Amino acid sequence: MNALQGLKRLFQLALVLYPVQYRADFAEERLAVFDLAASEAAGRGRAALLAFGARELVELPGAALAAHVRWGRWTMIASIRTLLAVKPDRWGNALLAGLPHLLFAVCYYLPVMISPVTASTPAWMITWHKWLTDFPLTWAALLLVQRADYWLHARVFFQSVAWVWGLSVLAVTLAGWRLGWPRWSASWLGYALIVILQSLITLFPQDVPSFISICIWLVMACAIYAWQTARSPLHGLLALLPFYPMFTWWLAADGIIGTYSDMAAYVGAAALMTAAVALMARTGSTKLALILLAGLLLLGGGGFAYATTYHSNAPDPSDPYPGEVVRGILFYFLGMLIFSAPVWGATIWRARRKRLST
Amino acid sequence: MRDTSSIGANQPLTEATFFILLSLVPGQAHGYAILKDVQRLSANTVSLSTSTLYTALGRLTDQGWIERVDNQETADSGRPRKDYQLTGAGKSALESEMLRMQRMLSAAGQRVNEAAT
Repeated sequence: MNALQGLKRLFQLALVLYPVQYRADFAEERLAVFDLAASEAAGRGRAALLAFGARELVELPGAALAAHVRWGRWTMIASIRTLLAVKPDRWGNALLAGLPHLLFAVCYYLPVMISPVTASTPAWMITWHKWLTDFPLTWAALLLVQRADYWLHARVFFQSVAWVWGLSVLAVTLAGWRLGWPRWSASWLGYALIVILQSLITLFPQDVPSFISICIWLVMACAIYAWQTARSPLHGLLALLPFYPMFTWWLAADGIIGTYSDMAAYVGAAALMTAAVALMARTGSTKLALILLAGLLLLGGGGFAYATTYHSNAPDPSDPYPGEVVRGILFYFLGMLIFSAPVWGATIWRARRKRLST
Repeated sequence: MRDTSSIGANQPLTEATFFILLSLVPGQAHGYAILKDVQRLSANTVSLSTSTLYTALGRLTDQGWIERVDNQETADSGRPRKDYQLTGAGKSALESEMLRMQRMLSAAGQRVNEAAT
């Protein structure tokens, strides 16, 4: 083997540094061009051939790396685009996907809507406080001991609302399962996770059991979000939205006597969420879904940072409210980024698998 | 693969890019022909390795300035050959770059003449 043939052989071997797909498309062409250029250099003498060969082999690894970046980037983007392409759905199904958000807000704030709330009204009287564990006890107390107690009636009623809400969510989720998990069912499945979380918080309110139960729930929720994302990223996003931002807003109101303005903010946000989710489900556009979500977080983050949930006193011009609002918005964006990790993680993982398989 | 043919964002063109586009003005050409033409057009000041050439060709294809086309002929080695040709966006980019260079030269010439008089 002479120097020219050796160099060609070396170049052919070095092409293995390029991505497989690139080699499939370009290897033959690259070899042909290299053959001609190397032969031309060889015609100018041995030194010219060596200089040519050295330069080619030195520059090849950098070019191969650039090809990996370019190829990987574009094939990945193409894979993600394929995953995001979801067909539009009917309006009826789309509204069904949005409905649980409004239902949750209305049920949760029903006590505030119908109770004569005053500053002295204890929180447990008008919230879903211990709805899971105390429900039989409050019923028993109502039936056996204090029939005339207004607050006991109210508490039984509100706890019943919580039960009706929880069981409704589980029933619709079950229907979604029987129908093969259509798109609208992702929202209900997400709220089923919330019902389970609410139950765990009620059953294990503190200490180690609380920590363990929350950890188990997190693992289960992440697996379900990822599984839904495997159906489509839009499924994953719809399943996630009940937890964030809706449930975090609920958590923000936890233990605080809601006012009518809080209720208006929360139910208003839920109505917006319902409309946004219906649009997401109707169009099937993940891009639109992310834009709507960003808008909601912007509105919600600001609104809730400003609500009496965080500021029990009347707005004071000397208070740094704008700062609170900005922090609130940033908190919701950052939170969404963290909580949506199973969704975008599963999307990237699927895109990589899809890319490799093609 | 994508349409990023925005000319303004890619100006000024590198010497290699400029000469590659220029070498494709007469018509489609294969990699080795481009390599030699770039060398000739630049009076041996730009000498590309095959790796650099193909990195540039890939980038220009992505930008939509050139396209890779089949050529039924085969090279001397008997291997199938692919050619490259300018697209409309590529021609516009080249013309825009030439205009930019002409403006610069014009401004420079005017200033030098002013200084001389």
